[in-house]
Amino acid sequence: MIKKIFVMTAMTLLVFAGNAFAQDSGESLSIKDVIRTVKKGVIRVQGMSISAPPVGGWGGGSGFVFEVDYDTNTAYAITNHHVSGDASASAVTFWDGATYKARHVATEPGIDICLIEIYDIPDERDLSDEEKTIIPVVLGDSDAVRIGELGLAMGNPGDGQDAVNIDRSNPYETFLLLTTATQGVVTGRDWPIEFLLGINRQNRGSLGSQYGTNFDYAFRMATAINGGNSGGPLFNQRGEVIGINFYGGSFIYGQNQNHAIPINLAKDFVFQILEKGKFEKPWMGVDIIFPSWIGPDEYTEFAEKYRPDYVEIYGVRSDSPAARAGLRQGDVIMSVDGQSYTDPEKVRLYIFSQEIGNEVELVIKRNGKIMKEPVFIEIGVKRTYDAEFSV
Amino acid sequence: MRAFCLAVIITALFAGQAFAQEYKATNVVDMVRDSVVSIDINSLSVNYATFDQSTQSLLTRQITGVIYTENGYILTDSNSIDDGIYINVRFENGKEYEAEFIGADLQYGVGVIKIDPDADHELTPIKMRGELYNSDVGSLPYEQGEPVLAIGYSGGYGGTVTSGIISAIRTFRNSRRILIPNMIQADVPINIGNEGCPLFNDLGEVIGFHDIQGGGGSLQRISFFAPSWIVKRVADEIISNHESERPADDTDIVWHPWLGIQPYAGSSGASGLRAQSDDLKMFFGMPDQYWDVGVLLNDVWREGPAAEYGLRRMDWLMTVTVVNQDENTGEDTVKTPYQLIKNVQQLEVLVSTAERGDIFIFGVLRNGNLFDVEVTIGQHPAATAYLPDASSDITGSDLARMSEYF
Repeated sequence: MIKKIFVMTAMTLLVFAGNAFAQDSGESLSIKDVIRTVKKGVIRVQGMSISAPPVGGWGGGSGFVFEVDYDTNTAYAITNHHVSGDASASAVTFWDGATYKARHVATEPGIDICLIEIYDIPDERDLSDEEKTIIPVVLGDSDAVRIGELGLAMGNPGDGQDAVNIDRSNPYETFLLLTTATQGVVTGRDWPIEFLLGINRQNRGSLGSQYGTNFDYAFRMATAINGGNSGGPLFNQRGEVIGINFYGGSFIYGQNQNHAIPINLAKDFVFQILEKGKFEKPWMGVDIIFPSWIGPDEYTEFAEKYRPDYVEIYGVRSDSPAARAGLRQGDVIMSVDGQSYTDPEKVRLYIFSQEIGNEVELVIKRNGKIMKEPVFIEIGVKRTYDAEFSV
Repeated sequence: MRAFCLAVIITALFAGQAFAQEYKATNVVDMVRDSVVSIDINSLSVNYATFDQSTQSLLTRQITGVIYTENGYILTDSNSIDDGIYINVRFENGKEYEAEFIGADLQYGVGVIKIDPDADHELTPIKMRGELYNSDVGSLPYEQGEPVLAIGYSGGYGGTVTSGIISAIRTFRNSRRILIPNMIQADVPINIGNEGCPLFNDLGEVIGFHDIQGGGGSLQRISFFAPSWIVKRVADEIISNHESERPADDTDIVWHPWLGIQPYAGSSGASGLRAQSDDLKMFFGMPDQYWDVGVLLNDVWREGPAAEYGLRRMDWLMTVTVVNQDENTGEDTVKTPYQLIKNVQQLEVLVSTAERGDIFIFGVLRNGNLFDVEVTIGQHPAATAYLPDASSDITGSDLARMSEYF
């Protein structure tokens, strides 16, 4: 029996070894087979209002449909917050040029994800996959992604730019590169705040950026993405979505350094919205900043050496868990759950990872003296009217 | 137990074999490496201020070419290859030849040069997909997502191999504003020196030639390749014109189909064709059954075929049938059956894929009357202006305006 198991294992190993380079599982799918199906879930999203996005270009972006409801003739799709987060209504275009109206359901700037609902899609439940015009994509597991795996991006790059050799004033000429497919490998994981800091200094100010602050890492990949790819899906070899393309860093860092948000963050957000009707964001109710005597950008030798290991409370939101626990403006947070922080973004990330109802322990320095008793704050739910940068 | 072991071995063998049969870039490179050449075009700079020849310096332009025939014809980029005083062709194995300029067509971006290979040097021409245009994207010899390779003289490094996939298949204008149906968009990295570089599929066949970069090179890895059938047609014409014994005349020009019409483009704005033409149709009092068909002519080129056969500006082209008339027998065959004209691109693709002797039968709406106009397609006048020894009376401003007509 043991021998039998051993042989079986050896067999499996051999088969897998043979396939390991080509793909990750035993399934054999070439990129063109994958594209044939998944392109029917990739969309172009045009927000009806125009605001200045912090990343990506002006104009529209991409997205993908992950759920279709033929009874109500609606479909749900995910895109970036910076694509249609500020737009109450959007227009959605599919691979075949069919355009539908869409409603903005929920958006979360901290993870740069927006959920939209598409109206009046055709009822295709009796059709085969080849005849369907809309096929929802399969959401994969971004925690299972290994570095070096294939990343296949789809979207419409060049939206709002001169993508091809055309005359933009001539409406007969199309300039959209709808459902462009590009490939590369997932090259690593980055905490993207550092590069967002670089390009987005003005927006962040002293209170922190609204965008892209609540994920602990983003995939870095060699897959080419351009302005307009934002919100589009990143597929693996099996055609499952592993990420959401949101930032092409190549123009700053060099070639083939682009970034995608892990899909698991979007799954948490989207399924909470769809099941509970709302997304509960863990929250204490304070606005925190870098210590006031040193700016976030002043990485001088002196600053590095005497850099304080604390963050300051700039303000306390009324009727929040922090206000109830007695925190005041001007307090200094020496540590959170025993860990000292120099960067407010890391505190934000730590709070975001907490369950609602958990207690965190804060060591506070007030009027120059460290308080003897630590302050315990029960993590609450962020209210809709609270500023995005409050923690 | 033995049976199991056997199964293990067999499975392992099969797994290995299945893997070997998959696409491998190295296999393709082995097949085609000897067919791609690095071309140095050496020319003398011209000082346009003084025309002083004593201050001329040597300029070298590095581009890529492919072996087209066994007797030494090489396909490459068209741009400024005719002013080279010395064209040097280098193979991957180090062999070098001086090449002779044969001909170029700037509008399609195809250039032809020729070398005389040594007796002991057997050239290996590329295999090229030469299927003619087919309006059905599904039946094309290439597909979105297919692995492709580009080999070129990137940045002066000969035989550089870059790989990617076909990102999409689109109908676009090339850098000379000629509409090319089913151009290939690929995500292979392309650099200076890749001009005229071939795009290979997983069987080692050429499916396209590099044409333009997306966003003028400002977008990452968005490159457009002209499909091989159009390059093959143009190259074959250039070569047969060169080899013909009779003296050169107007028929020696590469075929550029042209009607000489300019559709109404509306005012600038992204609202596009539909909104513009809906307004116009209301303005023209168009009957309901024609609501979603028709292209309005903004202008007709004064000496173009359309003007010659009676089309006027402010005519609506509603329907089209394309008939091919055989030059020798005079027999008509229907090439494109009767169809409604739904948009400009549909008409422009029909024009750009037309052959010599094609007759376009348009259903024209003028002043509320629907009648037929037959237009025999003609040669684009700009084609003569781009000949090396052009004696054409077309001015530069004419050429610029002409690019808005098809």
